[in-house]
Amino acid sequence: MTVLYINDEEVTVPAGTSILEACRENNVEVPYFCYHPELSVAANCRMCLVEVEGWNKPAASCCTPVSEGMKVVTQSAGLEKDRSMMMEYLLIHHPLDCPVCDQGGACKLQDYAVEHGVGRGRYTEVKRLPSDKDLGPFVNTCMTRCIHCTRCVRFADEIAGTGDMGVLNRGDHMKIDGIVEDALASELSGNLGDICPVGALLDKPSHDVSRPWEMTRHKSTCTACPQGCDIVIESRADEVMRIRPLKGGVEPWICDRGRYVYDAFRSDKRILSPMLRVGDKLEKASWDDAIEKAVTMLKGKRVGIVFSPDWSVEGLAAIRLLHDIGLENPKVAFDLHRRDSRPFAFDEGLTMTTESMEQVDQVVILGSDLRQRFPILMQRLRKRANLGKPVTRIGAMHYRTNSEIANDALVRPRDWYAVIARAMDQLKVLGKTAAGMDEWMGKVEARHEAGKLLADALLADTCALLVGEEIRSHEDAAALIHGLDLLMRAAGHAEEGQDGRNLLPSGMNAQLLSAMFNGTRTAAGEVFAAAIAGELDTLLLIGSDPIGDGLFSRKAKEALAKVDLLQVGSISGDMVGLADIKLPAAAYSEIEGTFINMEGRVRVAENPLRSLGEGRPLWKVMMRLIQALGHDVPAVNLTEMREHVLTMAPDFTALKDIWFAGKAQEDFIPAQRNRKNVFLPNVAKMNAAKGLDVVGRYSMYKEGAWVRASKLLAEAGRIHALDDVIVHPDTLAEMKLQAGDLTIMSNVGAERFTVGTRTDVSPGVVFVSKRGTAGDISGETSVDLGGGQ
Amino acid sequence: MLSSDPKKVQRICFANIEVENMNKLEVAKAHGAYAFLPTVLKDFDADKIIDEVKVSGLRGRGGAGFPTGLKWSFVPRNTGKPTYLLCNADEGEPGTFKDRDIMRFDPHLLIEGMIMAGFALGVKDAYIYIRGEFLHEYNVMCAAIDEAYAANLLGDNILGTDFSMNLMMHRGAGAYICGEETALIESLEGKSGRPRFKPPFPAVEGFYGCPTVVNNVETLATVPAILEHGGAWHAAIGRPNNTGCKIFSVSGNVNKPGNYEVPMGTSLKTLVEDYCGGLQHGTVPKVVIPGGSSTPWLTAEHYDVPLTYDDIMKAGSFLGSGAIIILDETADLVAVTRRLAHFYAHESCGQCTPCREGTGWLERVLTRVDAGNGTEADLVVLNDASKHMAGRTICALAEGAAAPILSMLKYFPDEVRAKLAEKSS
Amino acid sequence: MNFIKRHLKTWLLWELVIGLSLTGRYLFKKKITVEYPEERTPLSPRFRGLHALRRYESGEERCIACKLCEVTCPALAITIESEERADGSRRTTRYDIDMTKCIFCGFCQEACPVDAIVETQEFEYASETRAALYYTKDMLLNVGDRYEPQIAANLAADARYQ
Repeated sequence: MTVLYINDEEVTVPAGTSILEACRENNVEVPYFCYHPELSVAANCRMCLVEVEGWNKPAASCCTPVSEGMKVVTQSAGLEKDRSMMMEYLLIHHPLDCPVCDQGGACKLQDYAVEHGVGRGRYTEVKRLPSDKDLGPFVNTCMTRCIHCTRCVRFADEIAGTGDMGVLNRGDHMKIDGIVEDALASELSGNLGDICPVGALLDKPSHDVSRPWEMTRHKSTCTACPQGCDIVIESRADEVMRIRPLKGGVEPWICDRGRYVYDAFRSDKRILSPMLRVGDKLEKASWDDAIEKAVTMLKGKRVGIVFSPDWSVEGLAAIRLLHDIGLENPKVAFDLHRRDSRPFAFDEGLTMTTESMEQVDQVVILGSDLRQRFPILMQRLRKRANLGKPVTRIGAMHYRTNSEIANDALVRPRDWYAVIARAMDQLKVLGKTAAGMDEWMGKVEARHEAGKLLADALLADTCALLVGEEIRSHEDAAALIHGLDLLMRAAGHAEEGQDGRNLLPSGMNAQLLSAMFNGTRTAAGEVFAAAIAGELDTLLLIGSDPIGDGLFSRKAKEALAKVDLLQVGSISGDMVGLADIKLPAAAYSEIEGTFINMEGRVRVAENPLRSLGEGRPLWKVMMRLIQALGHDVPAVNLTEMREHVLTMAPDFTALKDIWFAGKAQEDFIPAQRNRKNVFLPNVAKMNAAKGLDVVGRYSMYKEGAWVRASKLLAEAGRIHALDDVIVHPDTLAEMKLQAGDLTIMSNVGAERFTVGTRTDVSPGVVFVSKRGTAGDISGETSVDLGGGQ
Repeated sequence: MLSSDPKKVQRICFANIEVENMNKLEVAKAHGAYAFLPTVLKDFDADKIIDEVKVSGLRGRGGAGFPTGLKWSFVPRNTGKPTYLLCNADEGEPGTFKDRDIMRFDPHLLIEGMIMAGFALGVKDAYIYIRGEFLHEYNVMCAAIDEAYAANLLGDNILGTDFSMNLMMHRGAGAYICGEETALIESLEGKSGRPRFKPPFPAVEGFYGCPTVVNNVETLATVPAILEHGGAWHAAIGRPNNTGCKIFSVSGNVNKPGNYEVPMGTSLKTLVEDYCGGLQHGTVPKVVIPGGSSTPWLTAEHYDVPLTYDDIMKAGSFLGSGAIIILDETADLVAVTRRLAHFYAHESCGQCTPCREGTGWLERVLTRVDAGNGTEADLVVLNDASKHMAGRTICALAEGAAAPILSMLKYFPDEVRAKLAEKSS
Repeated sequence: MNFIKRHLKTWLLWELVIGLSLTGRYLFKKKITVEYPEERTPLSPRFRGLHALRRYESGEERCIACKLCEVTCPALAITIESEERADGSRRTTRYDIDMTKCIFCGFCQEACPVDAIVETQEFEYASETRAALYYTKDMLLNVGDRYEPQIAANLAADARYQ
């Protein structure tokens, strides 16, 4: 710790802190433009000058480390003159267009001009006129306003990892430029508008529409991915203008997917009032009529429930209540991305915070396209890589990460047994083993060299295993995860305090869901299969869009054609024209509710937007249904509902603390562990599969009903489109085929698609883009490839 | 051969400058090049070399005048990272042309100096960052380095010892700012040449984040003589704290402009009158720019100043790189300042606000003033804009850009006002 | 005495005489009233009457949708919505003033950086319905077009005090 004096006040800060940070920590105002706590120091705006006793010239506080006994002065006549000159320098080329600039009212340059500037500039020569750039659908540019703080350049280099912005020329010809005349290739591009201290980079969708002072801010939780970031929804009356990361929240950035999904809040896909089928058409109905009709579809019927995990905790508990009290033995499923519904040795959810993943010695990503699925988690790993810490990855493709990957290996989904067994071999040689490991290994003959990378990483003191979708949606996922659990136990990464077993979930609230539904749940595929087989009368879809999302869209289509569909939700997804009854439930932005993210953090949304239509919070809709079905309900208000949730999940004391004791969260909600069951590899089944494995590729701009309803994200999806069907050229060469139109033979039948090649993918795998031309095949596990005629 | 009696020494770097074909290895060897190198590699160790250089009192010849021995002693050892030696041959300061003569006429002196410095610092890879425009010098240096490699003076196991060092040439792309050591490092790393803020200093975190020493050509060329004759010998030349000889690049209104190496402490008047053939007009100069265009001006009253770092600083300026520009009464000072302002506006790297915007602003105002369209208010702008640029930026370019303008306003305000009057009257 | 004095005043109609003499005096003085609407009093160039939106000489509307008038309006009478027009300029898609709310304080015209919203000297816009007092952008622009010479003259007259 270092003791110094700021304006004669003694302060103590950690050694190596900069003067500016010391001032910020102690609430001493120092003006700055280029400094940003999440970015490297550039020290180029020279606005943060302070005086240090004994120094003959002012020091830039952002890049000057504190030293013992240093005497810093932040206010003096000399500094005031310096600051006013700095403002004059900055403003000589800056246009006087604050009235038409969206930043006006929330602009550092404007604020400091008032505080430190002089009223009138003395510059009478020609002004600089840099041209505007096209930075894609989310960033509006007006480069004449740029003050060259280079925050955007550092953001692109360090945070996004794409480096697609840079500085060209020098002197006062210097300009910020996109290095390529193309949209930014980053999934975090929306943050650029937030970090620009002036109006040079602005949010494009809300450009020229609103003013900062018109906004009402609503703290909420993003449910676009299991990261569940803290967000602030900025609205003007009921109209959402922007979504931004919460200042001072855990994650300083949010991704474009979570930011621009608001466009869907007003889409015509919203379910805003109860709808009843009359003939071929759905017509608006009253709540009473709709509930009455719904009861006839549910009472005494064989019902299948498929719901979305992204509802609030209260809503999910209410679904469980409907399942328990209201219906007779319904089949229930919620994860559209999981083929294997057996309980996993370590179930979905992280044991570590994303922050702590920056610190551990080793991180291993197993089969996950992290950048598309967990952009903010990927950003943490990128930060880690920038510090020179290794990331190991094993998966079917060298997915683009915009980050350094120290070790990278390609495997087919059917190779996972061999990878794990190879790693077990290595640990065993080193005398590290766990009960049951030999039995597991004994079931697998093959060994895959990628296992060496896994074992090497496991030998580090601390290691975080990130198990991704390639394993989670594997047909034999329970056995694979059991194997990984054995490995982690053998390597000593399963103990309390340094548990590194992280299974990346596919939706929010994973910890609660596995606690509440393990044992009750079935795989979504089984629900649809039952419907197809005529074993169900009614399907109750609660927020789930099985046609648009997940692995079972083909089955879902078939099933929904056969049974009655009661849809409860805020958005219809791809089920247009299929539902018999639609009941509106309020969207995540419109409720007071609680969410649990993949780390186990509890997030409570408090001041919601007003519901657009007649939607009610889901738990109320569920209670109404239970009542209409002739049962008593345990809760009629939110407090009672929450009390009831605690009786259903008694271990979740963190919820109790936050709801009723008003405490900040201390403990994270733990992911479920299932040590009792032993699942051994079923290699025979794998060997019986068709020749090529299928891996479905996910585009962050296309997955999820909300996302698909957003026109803004659709545009981004068009720009960053994925290849429809790709294989490794060697795979084709082995089969004596040429890239182009080929026949893909699957359980669906034989169909022709244009197949492309890429060399950064594992041989023996067909990559199918979900929502692409061959989208239906993305749900298959294996296919054969044949020549085109 | 240099005399071992320091009193008799008049030149160090330029001792053999007039020898024909000194750039050829055999000629250089005949004149004593590399003669002492085997002794250094065998009998000296790092501490001894650094001590000798410290004792010699050698101060950096690139402009800042930082003691070289001290700089070398700041380099941390055993960091596990390589240490780099970079020779700053990006001689871009207007008025300076000394380093190119060393490289053109006596390249082996520089190479020998670099081998010795590299040996002292435990360097495996050394670079000479040469100004892009010096194509001829670049070719001469490359040829000399090739000869040195062939003679096992560079490369693996130099002269049969354990010491190995590679020496590479790198041509700049014409940016003045790359003469600033951290900008030079950035440029050498392949980025655009923009100075880094300090700390961390290059000695700790420089080229690719490794300990790095950046020295001027003249500094490194002085090292062989110091090691051969001893630090005390060098310390006896010149004045205390301003030891040795210094090459002065004299230009402007003198009869014989050129490079002159003289012992430190020689007076400016002696240099001009005895070496440079006197002034073109008059008996005293109007303006003396003592250390390259970015140093503040001196006037006739300082004509007798001894040429040492300390005396010139006392007079209100800096010795800088020793580029003395003499202006007599025929010079139009506003035009001179405008031309210099244009240079700095063109060469500012653009990262810091005051320099990026200030240099351009000053150039435009001065252009207007020089054209006779200035007003009294412009003088206030010139003063404010240059004063608040100096010392507020990462590197010293802004100070250099402000110096001529502030000097002009300080010493010759009437001359500027006369320009204002031209059209308004 | 008082009794006699009072009776004299009563019977001689003394108060009436006093009153009529005042009337008589004013009968011959210069008149200070005007016969509105045939006659009108002069108005100050700063008179704050009906609002108008102005245009440039080229016909381009002045308003740039900065919303400063909206935020400064103490009566919340102004409602603005804006978007980027096809040519890239920031323009209003809606500019409404509710004259029933307006208190004619003139803050809007003071806040306007481009002299787009001004208050004219027009005050005769009474209507039979409330709806007619809800002025939309087109109506305000029409007012501006109609009174532009007067507005320009008023601004010019007041310019030296700005």
